[in-house]
Amino acid sequence: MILSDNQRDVIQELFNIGAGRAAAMLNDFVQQRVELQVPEVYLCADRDEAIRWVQETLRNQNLAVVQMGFDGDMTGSASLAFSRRSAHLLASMLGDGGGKPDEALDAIGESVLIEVGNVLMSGVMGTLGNMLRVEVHYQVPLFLRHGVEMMVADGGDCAFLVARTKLSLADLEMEGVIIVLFSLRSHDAFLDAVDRCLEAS
Amino acid sequence: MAKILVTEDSIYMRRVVTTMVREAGHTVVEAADGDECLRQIAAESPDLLLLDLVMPGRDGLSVLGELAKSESSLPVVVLSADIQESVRRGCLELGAKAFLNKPPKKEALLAAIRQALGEANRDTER
Repeated sequence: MILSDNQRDVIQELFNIGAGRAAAMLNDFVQQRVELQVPEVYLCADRDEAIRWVQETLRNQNLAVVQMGFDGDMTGSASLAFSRRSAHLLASMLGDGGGKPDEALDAIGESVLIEVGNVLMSGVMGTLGNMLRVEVHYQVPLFLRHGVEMMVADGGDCAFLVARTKLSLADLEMEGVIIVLFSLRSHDAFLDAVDRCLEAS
Repeated sequence: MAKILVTEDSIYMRRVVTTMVREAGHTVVEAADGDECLRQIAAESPDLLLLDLVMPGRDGLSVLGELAKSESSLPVVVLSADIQESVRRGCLELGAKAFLNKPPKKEALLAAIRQALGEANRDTER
């Protein structure tokens, strides 16, 4: 399956707008300026390649990751990953929780991270859904306790469109990354919607 | 002041919302999912329901559907991370009085509660 330059451009721009919305939402939580890197979009031929891409994105294994699956006209998963230090900082800022920085997050800390992830990922995906006029149904977000392989659904014979953007809060020395993986099949509703968007432009 | 049922699966967000509502002088009852929400409605007869959408088990849309089916007059304010217009429209069509996005802003949340309670009172007086 080939993704045209025009399709890639539309997806990257919509993801950029969605990430901007997510950054504004994170700003609402923490009352601090949130900076975004330019998003990157790739097409992975299969699940193994998508897993390698996620592993390369998350080179630092000491991360706290929240994942939310979605389906409907788009199928896949969105993830928000923070370094452990950033996750503890966020948890203590918002929920008076987190536990000791060198240990796993406590229940309140996990709850803070899951809810922040929920809001940010819904911001990204909802923006895409609204702009492409397609419906997205969300699954309950989860705190990821296993390897990054869990982030890439085993959906049979499909390609993966992957997008990432890094966000940072300079004043707090906090960093995170939003990753979205779309499962793509031929005659995919998502790519059809991208094409409609292109035709309308 | 009113008795408000806060239905939200996130411990953190439930704490944020209940604090805002309590500080405004309301009484709070809590539920962590849709099934517990329906049980609490029957047991506690709240004046207003604050409802999350994406929850494990019975979700918020299903709760709204149940309330619509039973022709309940309980005013509902939806509080969700979902920013899709179709979802907002769907909730309002199922009878929600307001649809707010997370994270909640205290002034907007309390204004929506005041408005929904006011509308419910006017409906009762008619």
